[in-house]
Amino acid sequence: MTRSCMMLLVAVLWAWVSGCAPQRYAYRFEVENPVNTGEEVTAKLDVDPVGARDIALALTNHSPEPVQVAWTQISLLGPAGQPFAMRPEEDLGWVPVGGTVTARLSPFTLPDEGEAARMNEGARFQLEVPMTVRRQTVTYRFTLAAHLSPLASNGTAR
Amino acid sequence: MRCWWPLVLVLVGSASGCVTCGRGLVTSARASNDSSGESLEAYFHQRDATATLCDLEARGPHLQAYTVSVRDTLVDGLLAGAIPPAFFQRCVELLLERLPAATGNVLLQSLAGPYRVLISDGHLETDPARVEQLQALQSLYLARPTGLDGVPAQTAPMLADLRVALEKKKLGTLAARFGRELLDTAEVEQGRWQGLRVDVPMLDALAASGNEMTLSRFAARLPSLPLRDEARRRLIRIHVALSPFPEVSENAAAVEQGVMREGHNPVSLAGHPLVRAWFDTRVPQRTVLVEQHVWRQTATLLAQTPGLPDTALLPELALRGALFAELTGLPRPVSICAPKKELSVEPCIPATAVSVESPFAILEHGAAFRFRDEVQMADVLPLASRETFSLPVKIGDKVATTLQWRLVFERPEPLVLVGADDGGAGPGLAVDVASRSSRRWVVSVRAPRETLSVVVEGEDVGAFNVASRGGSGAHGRDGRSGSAGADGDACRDGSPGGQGGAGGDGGSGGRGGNVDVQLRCSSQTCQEELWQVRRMVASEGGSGGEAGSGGEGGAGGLGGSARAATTHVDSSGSTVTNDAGCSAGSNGRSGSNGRDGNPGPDGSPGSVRVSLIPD
Repeated sequence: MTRSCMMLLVAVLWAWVSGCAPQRYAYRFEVENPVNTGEEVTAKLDVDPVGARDIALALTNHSPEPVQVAWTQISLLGPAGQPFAMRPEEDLGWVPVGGTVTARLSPFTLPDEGEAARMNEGARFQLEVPMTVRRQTVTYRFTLAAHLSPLASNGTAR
Repeated sequence: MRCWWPLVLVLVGSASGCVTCGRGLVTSARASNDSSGESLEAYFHQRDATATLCDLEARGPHLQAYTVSVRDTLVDGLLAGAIPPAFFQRCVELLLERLPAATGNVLLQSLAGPYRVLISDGHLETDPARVEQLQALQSLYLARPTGLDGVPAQTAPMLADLRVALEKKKLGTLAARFGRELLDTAEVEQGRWQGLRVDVPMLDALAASGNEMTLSRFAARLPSLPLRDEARRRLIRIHVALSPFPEVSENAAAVEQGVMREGHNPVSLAGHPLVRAWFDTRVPQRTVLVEQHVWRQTATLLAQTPGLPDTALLPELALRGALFAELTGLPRPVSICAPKKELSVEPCIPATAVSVESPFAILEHGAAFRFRDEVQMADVLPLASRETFSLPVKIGDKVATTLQWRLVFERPEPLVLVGADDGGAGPGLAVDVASRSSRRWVVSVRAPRETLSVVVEGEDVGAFNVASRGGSGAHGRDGRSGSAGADGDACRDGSPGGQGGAGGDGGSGGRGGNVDVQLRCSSQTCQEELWQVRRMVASEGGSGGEAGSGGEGGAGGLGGSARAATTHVDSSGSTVTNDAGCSAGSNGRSGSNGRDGNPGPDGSPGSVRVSLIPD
């Protein structure tokens, strides 16, 4: 087979494969209440279900007592209300007075290609974080709305 | 002989049928009785199924035994997505708690294969369902009862493989996290944590930072009992430090000792008498639907959830965190005590002090109530006079509060009792109708062999009926077929077929039985009720038997065959005819059909007499 024939074959195969490969997507999450404005605790979230496959949750304690988070009872409610248990990647203790603790909550994974991914456009997830603040049990809830962007074949956003 | 005694009651409608009659629901009673893989899988896939079915010591319906088939059903169901991971996990947890250690170890070890498959599955990273499955298996292993370690000879090489896979970065992001967590806990089981030997100063440092996660690992998995106890003690101290109850922090040492001993901090109801109790908004709201199986005289209790269209199982009712009580001398409401492994220091009501005054509720371990979902009709008849399905909850010896669920009786199928075939008379019936309110009627039908009772909602009274019906008349005898005609010889016609016999007349339908109705009524004149009872209760004659068909006429005989002419040539060369031959005979004509019989006359109805018994 001549070199030109080989190149033509490769080009045809490439075109076929790229034409049939499922569309891949990048996720972007809109956290509807990204910074809790409570006086006692503020929270920040960074959601990455495709790369790190976790949710980074940073909690800052402004109260005069340690804030204890029920780290093993955190859950994420899916769009249909089904709960998924999440826990920090590392064992954590309480959030000291005036301190900030960042937890990488895992697992959080979502399909990143094809119809399974596309169905998550606009899906809303709710992160529930139970904690004890000033000796009272409270649950912080964060609503996350998913938005998808198609990726070009080289992995960059279109 | 047309005799209705011994009476054969032909039960109109579905006398047999499944436990749940058409809805396709598998109740806990059925899953328990059957215990087949198919039933278990079907049961667990239903809304409000409970994993308590797997508790071999449950007071309510549970698996009859743990078998390899049960294990395979659970594992296969998990991996196929047929059994939700949370159910699988809870079910296996309960089995591990109850099984003898040897059997438990084998069960635990059998989960290693599926674990290995999932953690090395390339799709794990993007498939939330597989992540959940892996998480369930991992949680089971990490939280297994102390003393259960699977089969160490098989576990050790698996952990070694996992370590290698992590070092060589062969696992994806999530798989690596699962793997690291497993190895961290395996390290704890060797008495070490993050490369250091676990000792009391390490425990103190963890307690000072409020690190319940690591201390809980230590309390569950350290090899040394004294160190496990020290970890528990520090968990309790953290809980004391966070408690909103002043009496906990003021009596920290005593509370610590008590929780170390008992696992929680129960209050004495004698020292803190009940003031009042209530249900939290988290308690499920349901409508109880009573499905009546009239011929078997059993009932199935099912549930409808507001806002959802379908019918489901009655949920398990966990009172902890749903039932709260104000007790004398305590500044805050308390609930039912938490499981001992939680080491909760909050004052709480021991589960043993709680009961539910209902014949349908079963108190399971840990103050969770389940419901008897398959009951006798006699059990549900008393509910007919109640507005709601009430669950009075007692704390100590006092009814503390009552959970009220809406109650609906599904319309029963018609109670039509039919006499024997061949025109047997319908059975005599004594019908007792109690309509003490417009809400529901209780109808009891006393037949010669049994008494059948049903409850009819007021709105369904117009569509329900009771009847004694005569048996259908005998089918008329069919006429005999005519004989076939004889075939003709050669050149001769066949003879005609014989005429068919006449069909017999159908038998008379049986007479409807006499029905005596007693209407118990509490309204002023009972005229409306009387009108409805007269419409509801009937005696009906059986339908006349069908006529016998006339016999078919016999076929005519076949005509004889033709004969060809025969000739010869004589000495002069002329052709001479020996036999001129003949043409074939005709077939004989068929006989005529016999005439059909006449249908039998319908039976006559019996009498229906209604007497009024004012309440």
